[in-house]
Amino acid sequence: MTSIRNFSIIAHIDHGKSTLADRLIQYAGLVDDRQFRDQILDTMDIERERGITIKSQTVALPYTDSRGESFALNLIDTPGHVDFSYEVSRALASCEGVLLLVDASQGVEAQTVANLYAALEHDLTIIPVINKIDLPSADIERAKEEIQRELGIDPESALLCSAKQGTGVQGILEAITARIPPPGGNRDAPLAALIFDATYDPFRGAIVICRVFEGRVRVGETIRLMSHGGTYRVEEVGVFHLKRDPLEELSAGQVGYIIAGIKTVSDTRIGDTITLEANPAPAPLSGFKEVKPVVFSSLYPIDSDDFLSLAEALEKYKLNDASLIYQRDSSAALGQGFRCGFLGLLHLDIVQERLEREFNQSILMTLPSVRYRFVLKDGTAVTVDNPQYYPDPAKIQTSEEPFVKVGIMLPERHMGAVMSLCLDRRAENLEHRYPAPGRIEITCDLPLAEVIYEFHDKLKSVTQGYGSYDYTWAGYRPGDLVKLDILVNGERVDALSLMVHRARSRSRALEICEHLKEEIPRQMFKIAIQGALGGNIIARSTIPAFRKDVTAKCYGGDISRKRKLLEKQKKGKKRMKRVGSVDIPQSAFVNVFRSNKD
Amino acid sequence: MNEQLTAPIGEVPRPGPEAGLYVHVPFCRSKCPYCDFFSVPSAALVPDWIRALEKEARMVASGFGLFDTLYLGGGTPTVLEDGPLRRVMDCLCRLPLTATPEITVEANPNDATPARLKLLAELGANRLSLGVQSLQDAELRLLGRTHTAGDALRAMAAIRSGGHWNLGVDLLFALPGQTEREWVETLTAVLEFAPEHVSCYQLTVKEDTPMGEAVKSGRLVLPGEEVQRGLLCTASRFLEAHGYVHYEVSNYARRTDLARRGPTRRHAGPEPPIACESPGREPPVFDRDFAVCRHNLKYWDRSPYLGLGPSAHSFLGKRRWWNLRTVRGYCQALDAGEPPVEGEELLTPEQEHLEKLGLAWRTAAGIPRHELADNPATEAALARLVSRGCVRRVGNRYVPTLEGYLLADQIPLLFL
Repeated sequence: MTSIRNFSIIAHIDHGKSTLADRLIQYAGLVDDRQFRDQILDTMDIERERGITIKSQTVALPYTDSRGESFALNLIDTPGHVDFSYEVSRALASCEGVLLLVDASQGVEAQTVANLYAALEHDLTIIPVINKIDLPSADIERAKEEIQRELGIDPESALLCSAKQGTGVQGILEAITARIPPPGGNRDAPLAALIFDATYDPFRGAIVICRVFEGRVRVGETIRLMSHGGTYRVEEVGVFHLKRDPLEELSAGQVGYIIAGIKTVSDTRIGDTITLEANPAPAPLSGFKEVKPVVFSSLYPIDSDDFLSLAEALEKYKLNDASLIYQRDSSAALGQGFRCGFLGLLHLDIVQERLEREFNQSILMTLPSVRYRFVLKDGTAVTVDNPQYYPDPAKIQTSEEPFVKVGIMLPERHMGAVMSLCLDRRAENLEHRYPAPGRIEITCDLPLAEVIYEFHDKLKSVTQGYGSYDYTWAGYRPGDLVKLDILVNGERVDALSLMVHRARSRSRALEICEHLKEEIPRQMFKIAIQGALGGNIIARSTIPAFRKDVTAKCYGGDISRKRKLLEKQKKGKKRMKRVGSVDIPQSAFVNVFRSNKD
Repeated sequence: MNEQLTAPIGEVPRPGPEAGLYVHVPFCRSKCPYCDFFSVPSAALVPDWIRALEKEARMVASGFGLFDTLYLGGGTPTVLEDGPLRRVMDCLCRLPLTATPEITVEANPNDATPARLKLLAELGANRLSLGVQSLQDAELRLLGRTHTAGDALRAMAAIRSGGHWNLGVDLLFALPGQTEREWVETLTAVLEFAPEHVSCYQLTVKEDTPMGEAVKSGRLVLPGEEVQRGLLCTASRFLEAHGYVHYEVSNYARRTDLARRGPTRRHAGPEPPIACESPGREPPVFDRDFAVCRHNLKYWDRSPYLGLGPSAHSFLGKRRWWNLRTVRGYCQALDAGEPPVEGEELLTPEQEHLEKLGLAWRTAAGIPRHELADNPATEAALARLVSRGCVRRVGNRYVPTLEGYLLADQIPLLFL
């Protein structure tokens, strides 16, 4: 046990976490240099493309220090996005220390701070590491200064490295062994292991990844998952040396995996405690909570004939993602579909991309919504995340919407633009301070609904890419919420309805009306697009009818050509959605909805 | 707008089972900047082409039975010298023809000399399609035409003064900068010659042409939708008021009961009754009471037709095919004893239906109800079209109004 170190790397996006992880793996000799693929831990295509980590993966790095002592350094790779903060917290709970990465050219940023607070909450040893020192724009002194002022950490304890070039890596490994304490725990105590991740293997079922705090577990024993009491017989335990490496037992202080005939990851819970049925722990490890989805959207197959295929794909997808919840839903305009709950917009994007790419689905998703709370006049409380179930306004006593506390880091010159951006979005308790010369930190409370609506893109746009933000849950607050309906030639397009704060209703309605005007092609009859709150029209746009649409000549070869066009148009019509007498192309739905990418 | 056309409707008897014959003469003196019909501006290949044409005629014409229309188009057929022209016409007239075929030759105004006209008549032609396009010199220059307004007027006079010609005049509208006034001037001047047939084609500029480039780069600005609509309506109303029937989107036929000769003969008095509204009167057949172009009707009616020459299209039964586009390619294939076919397609019933649907709203004949699907959606679409004024029901047929012509490419979409 003295030779084990459990640690994680935390950093703001793009500060080099994955590259550093690569170097550590390389250094540990876990893989032949020729076989080495950059950022080998990011095995998902999407992760590679976006340069982010979604699924955290753990690896045990063998290391012999300068004095010849052997260690097992367990690197627990954490997802780097606010959507997955619960996963991050459980991964951190499994460590004794962290490497806190700071990009030498960017300095301390929003998520650096957020991640630090998370680490401090778990009483972890912090080793600051200044990365990317190879860049011409690297300013090590400034980075050190920020580490002191922003993070309250002694800058002299910071290590310097360039993960890309591989410099400073050994120093980091030495520091891990020297500064991070070995794990505690008694291998004879009743088993208590913390699940911080789970993946799905089609041949073995769910692979639970855990940190053993107390006791030990061997093949053949029966474990119990304490959150729901399910029991399973252990088939295999081991650690990760990039691939699974079976052992006889996992014991206190170690990080590894357990395979126990658990069918899917949905049977497991992140943060749950594993114990032995024969000798259970008296209480579960602290910090467990059921993860709740925060952003909701309905998913439809583009071609309604593909509904069953989509249902299958979702089932398969869920094998490997316990946090996605979904249930049947339907729309007059779009047909049969599913109402899904996501941890955040990135999660939504990932689900959509994976369904499209890995499972070959062509799907439409409706406008993402948050979950609102209403208290009705008769005293009942309802939560609603689907505009279809918005209660009758006459019956509503109070309505509440979720708020988040947002921290935004940006260069000073964009202060005005970002302040406006926040105020536009109904920010409360807006404050700012100057953490460093030229840099501003703005904090405020924003409705979550405003954050999921284009906030990320607009922030990046007004700060020319330099702005970054993070947020934490801030509870529900009263809000004047209304349901905005969109009508096409007088017919409500149910899939376009949304719940919105009254103050934003007109501008949103106008945006959607204008948007649809661009997307819906001209037809033989005029098309009136309206945005309405109940019976009141609050915005409109009109698509004029064709006044003329005829080809001058129709001889010989023209007839074939004309017919081929009709064939194409007939095919195209099948993919349109009919509302009343108007055919609406899919692009009209897709583009209206996709204006919210995080 | 709901304008009813005075076109003959009711049961339009199908033109007989006879086929049409089209010959593509791929030669022009110069290429007009807006045209993408296939032609070469040189006469060097004429002899080869004629030899090949004779071979092709021998090879393929037998599947078609009797031809009752012949149409010599292109290109500019009148670019051919006397000798070659005679050879071509002889070749064609040796094919099996009906007793009174309609034999049309396309001509440019400068080629319509009395000598030429005499030769054409001798060779059997009885109909001329004169490419006047416009009677405004500025517009003619813009179009790159090789004649002036004066030339066109002289040509029409010559045609009217010698021989009995069935004259069709081709005009273009929606030219850059064209006004209603200029358009009406052109129409008025043309009607002085009381042609049997007038075609008013909206100028269609194809992308890969010099004019197409000019439009793309912004050097040339074509009139917008409202102006186009206005000019088409003006033509329709003007011509209908002067005794012509607007029987296809771009084509007008004169009532044959009006005097043919003399200037400014205008039809006065009420419109003749629509056939189905006066029972007892025999429904008019197109080519007896109105000087329609029988040949072109075959395209719109899906009658069989054979196209000879490079790039020509043919249709028989369920098969459509088309010839190689280049003169050399055409000649080479025939030299090798092969049909000069570039491609073909066999129509499924669904495709046949779509063709009928696409053509239906372009001619006064419209479409019989039984050609459309028998379901509520179709009934609803028809009801909408009628209430919109695009279509009206006459007996068991649905026929387009002027508004229907204007939206002929939109209407089929309601039935898809």
